[in-house]
Amino acid sequence: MIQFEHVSFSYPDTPVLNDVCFHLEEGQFVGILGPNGGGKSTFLRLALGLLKPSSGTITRTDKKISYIAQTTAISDTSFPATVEEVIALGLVDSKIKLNFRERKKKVKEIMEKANLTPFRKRLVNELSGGQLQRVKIAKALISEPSLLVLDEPDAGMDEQAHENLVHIVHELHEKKTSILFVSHHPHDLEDADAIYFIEQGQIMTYEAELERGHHHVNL
Amino acid sequence: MLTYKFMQIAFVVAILLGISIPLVGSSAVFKRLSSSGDALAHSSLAGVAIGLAAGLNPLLISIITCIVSFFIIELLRKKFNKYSEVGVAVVLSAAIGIAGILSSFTSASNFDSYLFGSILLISDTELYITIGLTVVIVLFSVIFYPQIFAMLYSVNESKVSGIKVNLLTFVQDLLLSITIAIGAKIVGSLVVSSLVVLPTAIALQMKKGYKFTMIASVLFSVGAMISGLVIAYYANLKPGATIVTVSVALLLLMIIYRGILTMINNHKLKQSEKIKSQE
Repeated sequence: MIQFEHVSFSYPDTPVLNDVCFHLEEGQFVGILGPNGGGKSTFLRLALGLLKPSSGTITRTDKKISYIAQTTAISDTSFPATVEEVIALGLVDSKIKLNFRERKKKVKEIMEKANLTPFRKRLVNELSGGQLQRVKIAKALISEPSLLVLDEPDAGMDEQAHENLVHIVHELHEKKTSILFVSHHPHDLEDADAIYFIEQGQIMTYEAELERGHHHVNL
Repeated sequence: MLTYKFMQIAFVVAILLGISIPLVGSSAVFKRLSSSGDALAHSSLAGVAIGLAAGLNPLLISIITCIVSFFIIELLRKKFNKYSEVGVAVVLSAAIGIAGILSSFTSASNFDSYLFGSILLISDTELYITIGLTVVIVLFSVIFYPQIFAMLYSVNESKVSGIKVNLLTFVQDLLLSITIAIGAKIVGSLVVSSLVVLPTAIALQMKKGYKFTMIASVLFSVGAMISGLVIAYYANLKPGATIVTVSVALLLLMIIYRGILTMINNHKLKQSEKIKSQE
């Protein structure tokens, strides 16, 4: 569960979020839409505890949170890590206590599930956008999180990979995993229990935003 | 060669530094802080100059100066944000300035021994400090291997998964600063910063995973240390400078090897495409 109570955040001289109230219940799927620079990323960083609010309070009860970031260090550098190694990172400090053999088995299983077994020894920076995304998702899911946070994870994905992602999110939602999904595409959020729109530091329900007549998108 | 006690100690220390320097240095390379090794090595020199001029233990002051310098670099990195390399340049310049001014107040031979190192003249205290430091670094690197790897892969994802990123970074920075200060005394300030970067740079050429790269960088480092010492002994050269030259030669050989390998693979690929098109 994540709860924002009258949260404001500013960088020096630049207000970003203003008096935001927000609630994500256990097992709920909440989508976030909004233009670039509207405050979505700051909102997410606050929700994850990566930033502290300038005022207001944020409550988080989830113990196992997985985060699929928009970009990671690996995508644009030559950091040496194989697919197998990166996926196993999902188990580091995930509160699941496994021995070496169990870890290896779990990594093997998730690689098979994500069709990544043939690439297990490949360096992640040599993968295509879609393959890299599958690795990121496998890393996020291996720890069986109670809350999955996705920050525009479809960058560089082809159509098939994108559909797979939406399908995975749908499955997790059915299994009562809480989901906070920041996306550019409203159709990614068709299954969402609630959709919010963040613009100019304000948060509102997507329906309210549609009523304002700014965004005519069929969900 | 190994009948001399000073050579036995030199080899032990070279192997220990060969293990510890890349273990802490590789993280600096992956964090795009390769040049911080340079700034720290020069800071250690400034520390030595302060110690010698003030009549204090130069090695101790050098360690303190290195630690303070690293935290100033980190502070300036945050301050300058997008121009993060400015912090390294500022500390490097300040260190050169201070070392230059204070060196006029110290005996030249004493100062030179820190400039070029003195691996053949290691005191018992320095030997014990090196053993202790290597044990700490190896234990830290092995125990916190998954957390360090996760942090280097993605700081934000690590923070979210509950890894104590700030504490780990602090310990890493501390160990790197101490290692450079001690390494500077043994192989020389001008040499130690290259040893932070070169073994990892060589290992990266192999284009393998993180664990392989880490093990390979330690093996390359130890190999360069030992062969550098042997060559320096028989050719009567400065050990520190020889070790670095061997490391650079290894890197060049590795780059050439990779180049040839790529050419062969490309040729094979073209051949198989040709065969396919003929079929």
